[in-house]
Amino acid sequence: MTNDVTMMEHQRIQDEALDLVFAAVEPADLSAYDAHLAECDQCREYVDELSSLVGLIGAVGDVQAPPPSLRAAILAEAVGLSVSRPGAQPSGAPASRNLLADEDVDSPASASPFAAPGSGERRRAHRSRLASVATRFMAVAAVLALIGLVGWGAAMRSQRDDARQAASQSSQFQDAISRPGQLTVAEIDAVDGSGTSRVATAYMRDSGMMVVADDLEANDTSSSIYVLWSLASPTDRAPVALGSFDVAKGDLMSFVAATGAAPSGRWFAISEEPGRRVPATPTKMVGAGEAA
Amino acid sequence: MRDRVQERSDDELHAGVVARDDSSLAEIYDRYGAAVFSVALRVVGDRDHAQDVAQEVFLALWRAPQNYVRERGTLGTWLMSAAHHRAVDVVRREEAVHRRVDRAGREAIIAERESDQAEPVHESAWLNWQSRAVRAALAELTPTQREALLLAYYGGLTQQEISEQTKVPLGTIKTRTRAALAKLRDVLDASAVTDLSPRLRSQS
Ligand SMILES: [Zn+2]
Repeated sequence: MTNDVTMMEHQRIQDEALDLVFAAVEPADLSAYDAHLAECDQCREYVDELSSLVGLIGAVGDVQAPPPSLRAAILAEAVGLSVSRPGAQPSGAPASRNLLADEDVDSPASASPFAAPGSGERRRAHRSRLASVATRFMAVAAVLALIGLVGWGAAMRSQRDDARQAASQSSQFQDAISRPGQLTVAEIDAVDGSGTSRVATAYMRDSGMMVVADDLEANDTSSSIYVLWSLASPTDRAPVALGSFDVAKGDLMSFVAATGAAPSGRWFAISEEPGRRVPATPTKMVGAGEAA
Repeated sequence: MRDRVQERSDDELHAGVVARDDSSLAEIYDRYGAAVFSVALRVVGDRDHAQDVAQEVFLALWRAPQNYVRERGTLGTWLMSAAHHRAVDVVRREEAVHRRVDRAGREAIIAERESDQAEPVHESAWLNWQSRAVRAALAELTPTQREALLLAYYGGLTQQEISEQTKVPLGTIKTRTRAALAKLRDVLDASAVTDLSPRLRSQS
C-alpha cells in the first residue's frame, strides 16, 4: 500500500540521498532514514546504487600500503586479544570502544551501512558543525585545486576570514603539501629592514601556484599588481618572474597567473609593481625567503 | 601468498567471516586493506587516523558481517564506502583539534610526514586497474561536475552547505552531483569496472 505520506517520504529520502551517501548526514539524524530504508526496497536500491558509486571514487589516486602492524592489530582484536597498536591515537576514540556500537546489531542506526563508528559523537552540537562547514569546505576546495583535481573556482568563490588559516592547518592540506617532489613551499619574510616578519607563503606545483597572504596588503587592482619571483640566491640580480597575482581585501589566498617561466633556484621573492605589468626586474621588493 | 587457483571468492570469504573464521578476515584484509587505508588516508590526511579508520572498518565487518549484503554491491566498494563514511566522521571530530595547531606544530607535522614517505605504494593489479578506470571516468566529467562531486566526497558537506559555500543554487549543485555520478556509472560500466558493482549492471 502506498499512501500519500509514504510517497512524500520516498521523495524526501531520494532527494536527500546524496547527503546520505556522501556521509554528510549527522549521525543523530540517521535513524529517520534507516527506518524508512529498512522497509522500502525502492529507496534502498536507489541509495545503494549511489553509495557503491561513491565507494568507487575512493579508488582514484595512489594506493598507499598500510603499516604491517595494522594487519596484526586487526586480527588480534578480532580474536579477542586486545592489543594497543603502536601510534594509535588515544584521543581518536579507540576502535575497541567504538566497535561496541557495531555489536549492537538490533539498533537500527548501527545496522545501517551509514552508521557512524561510535555513539559519542551523536551528541555533537549542531552549532559546532555550522561553524566548521566554512573551514572544512575551504580546506577541501583549496587542496583539490592545489593537487589539480578541480579548478580554482570553488576555492576562489568562497572567501572567508578564517579560511586561509583553516586551509593551511587542515589535515588534508597537510597531506597534500607533504607529498614529496611535487610541491615547493617558500615562506616569504618582509624585507623592509624592520626585522623579520612573515608576509606570505608561496605554494608552487606544476599544476599551479598559490600565495597565502599572511601580511600582504591588498593592492589597488587598477594600478598595481604583485609579482612572484624566483632567485638563484638571495643576491641574485637577475630574478625570474614566475607569475603575478592580486591580493583583495580580506582575501585568503591568491592564485598566481603563471608566466610559464621555470624557477631558477630555491629562493623566492614578492614585489609590488606599478602599472600591472610584469617587468624585467622587480620594482619594489616586499619580501623574500628560501624554499623549505 | 596463495596461489591464484586457491584464491577464495569474496562471497566465500564473507561466508567465512559469518562462520567466525578469522583466516577469512585476514584474506579480506589482504585483498582490500590497502584500498580501505588509502581511502581513509585521503580523507583524514594522516596515517594514524587512517589506521584507526581502517581498523574500525574491518572489525565492524568482523563483528557484524550481516551488515554487508551481497545484492547491494561488491565487498570492495562496500568496504571503501564504509571507510569513507568513518573517515569523514573522524575529520569532523578532529577539526577542533586541528584548528589549534600553530605554525610550529604545522612545520613539525610536515617534517614528520616527509619522513613517512618511504612507505611503498601498494602493488595490486585490482586496485591499480580500478584506480585508472576511476581516474579516466573523472576526467570525462565537466569541471563543474567534478568540483561538485569531489567537494561532497572529500568535504562530507551537505548539498545545501556546498551550495552556500560555492554560491551556486542548491538545485544546480544537486543536478551536477547527480549528473557526475550518472556519468561515472556509465563510464565505469563501459570499462567493465561495474563487475565490481553487479546491482548497477542488472538495473541498466
Ligand atoms: Zn521509499
